[in-house]
Amino acid sequence: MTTIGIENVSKIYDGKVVGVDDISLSINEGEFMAFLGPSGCGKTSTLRMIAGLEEISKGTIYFDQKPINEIPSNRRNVAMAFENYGLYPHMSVYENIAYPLKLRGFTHDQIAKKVVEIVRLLKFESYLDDKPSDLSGGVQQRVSLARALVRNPSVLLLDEPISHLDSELRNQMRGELKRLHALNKTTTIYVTHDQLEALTMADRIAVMSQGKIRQVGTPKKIFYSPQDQFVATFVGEPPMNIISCSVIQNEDTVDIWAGKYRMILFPIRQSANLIEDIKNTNNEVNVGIRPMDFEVSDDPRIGIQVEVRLGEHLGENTLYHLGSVVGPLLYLTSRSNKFKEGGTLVLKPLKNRMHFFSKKTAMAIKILD
Amino acid sequence: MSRIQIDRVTKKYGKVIAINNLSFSCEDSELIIVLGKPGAGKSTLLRMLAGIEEPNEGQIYFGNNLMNGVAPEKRNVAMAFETYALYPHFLVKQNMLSPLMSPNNTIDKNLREKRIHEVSQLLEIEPLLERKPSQLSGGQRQRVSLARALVKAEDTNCVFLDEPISHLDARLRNSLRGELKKYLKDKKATVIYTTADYAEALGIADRILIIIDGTVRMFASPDKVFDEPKDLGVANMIGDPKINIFEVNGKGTIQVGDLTPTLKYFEKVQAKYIGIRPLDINIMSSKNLDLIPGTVYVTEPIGYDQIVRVMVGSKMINIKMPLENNTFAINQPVWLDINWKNGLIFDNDGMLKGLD
Repeated sequence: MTTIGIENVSKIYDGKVVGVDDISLSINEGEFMAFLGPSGCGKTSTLRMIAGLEEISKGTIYFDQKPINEIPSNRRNVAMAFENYGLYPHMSVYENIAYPLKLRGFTHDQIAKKVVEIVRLLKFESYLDDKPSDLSGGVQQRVSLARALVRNPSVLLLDEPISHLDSELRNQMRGELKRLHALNKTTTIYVTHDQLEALTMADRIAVMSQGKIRQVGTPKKIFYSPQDQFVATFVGEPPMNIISCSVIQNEDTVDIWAGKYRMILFPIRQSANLIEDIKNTNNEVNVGIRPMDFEVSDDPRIGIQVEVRLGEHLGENTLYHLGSVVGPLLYLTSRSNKFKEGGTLVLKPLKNRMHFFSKKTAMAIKILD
Repeated sequence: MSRIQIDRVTKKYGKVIAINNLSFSCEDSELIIVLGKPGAGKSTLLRMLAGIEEPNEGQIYFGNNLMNGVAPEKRNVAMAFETYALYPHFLVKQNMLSPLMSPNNTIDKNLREKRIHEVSQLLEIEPLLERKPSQLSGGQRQRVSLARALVKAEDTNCVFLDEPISHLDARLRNSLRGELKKYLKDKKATVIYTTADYAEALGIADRILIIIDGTVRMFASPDKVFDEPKDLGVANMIGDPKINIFEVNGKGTIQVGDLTPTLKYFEKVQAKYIGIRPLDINIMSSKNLDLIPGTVYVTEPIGYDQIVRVMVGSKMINIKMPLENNTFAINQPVWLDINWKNGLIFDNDGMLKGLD
C-alpha cells in the first residue's frame, strides 16, 4: 500500500520535445487511477517515469512522501505489465510468471499455487508449457499481466494491459481486474486510450492531452461534469455533439440559438457565468449535448430541425446520423422510436443535460441552479 | 455492381475444413456483413470471393458469370484485407491512386482527385497523404488500405472488406461505421464485409450472414438477428454484455446457479433453455423471498448506465441498468427480479421456439 505523489513533473526529450508538461497529481493508498488520453498525450511517459524506466526531466515523484527520482527501477517495488509484453523468450509461460516469485524466495509449492490461481483468473491454463514465441499477441499480453499480478507489489503499473485481446475476452477481463483490485487494494495506475476501460474500472481518472492533465475525477464526475471541451468529447460513446450557438439576452431570459432555431431558454438568474463569458466571444458559445440527451420537441418555442441521414441499429438502441444547419449531429434513442431516413424531425435537448464551453478557452461554463 | 451467388462451396486446408458446403446469395447493391468469431471461416470465404483462394468444391457466380478459376485482377473487385498490403515505396496518395491507374482506366484526372479528396476526408487521412506506409501506425495503415478499396467502389462488381475497421480505436470505429455505410450506399456498391463485432454488423448491414465453424447459422436482417436469434450459438454472439442462458429442468423448474425456482409461466412450454437479456433483470438490495438471491461480483459504470455482474452460486449473471440511484458494492447480497416473460425460448437442440 503506497501513496504516489507527482509534483510539477515534466518529461522533455532531446532537450526540446515536451512529452509531459508540468503535471501534478496525488494518488491515494489503494486507489485505482486511470491515465486516459489519445496516443501522444504523455500518459505512457508519465507511467514510465513512475516505474523508473525513464528519467524525470523536471519535478519530483514520491512514494509514501519519499522522493524516488534517484531510486533505480528494481528497488521501487513496482510490478509492470506493458503493451509490448517484455516476456523472457527462453522461458515457458509458467517460468515467466514464476520468475518474480522465485526471486523473492517463495517455495516451489507456493509458486505453483499462485501461478495456477492467476492463470485460471486470466483464462489461459492451457498454455503454461508453451514458449512466448508460440503464443498469439492476446495470450502474450495475458502472460505479461499475470506476471505483474502474481506477486503482491506495493504499486501496480499497467500500460494498455488488455488492448490486444478480442472484445469478448476484454469485456471479461475488465471485470476480473477491477474485482481483483477491489479485493487486494494494491495502488494501481492503469494507462489506456479506451474511455470505456477507464469509466468501468477506475476509482478516479486523470484525462490527459498534449502532455497536460485536463481533469481528475471519479468516472461519474468526468462523465457528468466534464471540465473542458476535450474531456467532454473524449469521454462518452457515441461522442458528445458540439454545437456552435449564439446567445441572446432578453429581459428575464437568455435564449440559445443554433442558426435560426432556438434550442433552449434559461431564466436570466441562472446565466451569470454564461453572460460574463460571451462578452469576449461575440455572444457565441459551444453547446455540448450527448447523443442520448435529445428528445423530440413537444414545445413549439424550442427545438432544432434535423434531417435523418442514416439510422444504425445498435441492439436496444438506434443511432441516428442527422444533418442540420449547424452540421452533422448524432442522436441515440430507444429502437422503439423509429424515424425514416430522409425525413425531418425537431429535437430539443433534455433539461439539465446540456454543457456549455467557452469559445475562447474551451472551459466549461457553469449554469447556476 | 453485381449479384453474387455462392453455391455449395467447401474449402479445406489439409484435413481442416474451413468452409463447409456453404451457400448464400447477395443482391445487387446489397451490403452483407459476415459475422463470426476469429477462425470461423469468414476471411477464407472472402478470399475465395476475391479469387485469392480457390474453393475445393462448389461454384461462385458474379451475375451470371462463373468466377471459379478467374484470376483476382480479372474479377473487377475492390478489396481491403486485414494485412493491409500497401506498396511500401509509394506515398499514401499514390497507394490510393494505384487502383485508378490501371493501363485501361478511363477515369480522368479531376475525377481521380475528387475521389481521393472525398475518401480521405471520410477516413480522416488527409494529413497523411504525403507519407510513406512505414511512417503510419497500424490503425492509419488500415484506413489507407480501406481508402484504396473505396476509391474504386463505384467502378467494380463488388467490394470485399475484411475487418476493415477492426484495428481502429473505439472512437474512430464508432464514428466511421455510419459514414462508411452511407458512402457504400451512395455508391450503390455490392459489398461483402467481415467482422467479429456484432454491433458493427447490426449497425450497418442490410443482412447479416452468421458463420460458425464454416457453416451459415443464420442469414437475416439485423432486426431479425437481434429479436429472434435462430439458436443458442447466434444468441451468444449478439449483445454486450451477453445474454444470460438458463437451463430448464422440466416441469417449469429453472436452474439458476444452485437454485431451481419454479415458474408457472413455463409449465406449458416445451423449453430446454431460456435466454434473458441483461436489460430484463432488475436488482433489489433488500431481502425478498420471491426473488433469486445472489452476490455482486463486480460493477462497471458506463456513462449513464452500468453493467452489474451477479453470482448466483457458480453462475455469473449479466445485468444492465441505469446508473442513477443504483450503486452496489462488490460482494453485496442482492435479489434478482428476472422478467421471464421477455425470455427467448430454445428447445432441446438449442433452436429458438416461438411462444404459442
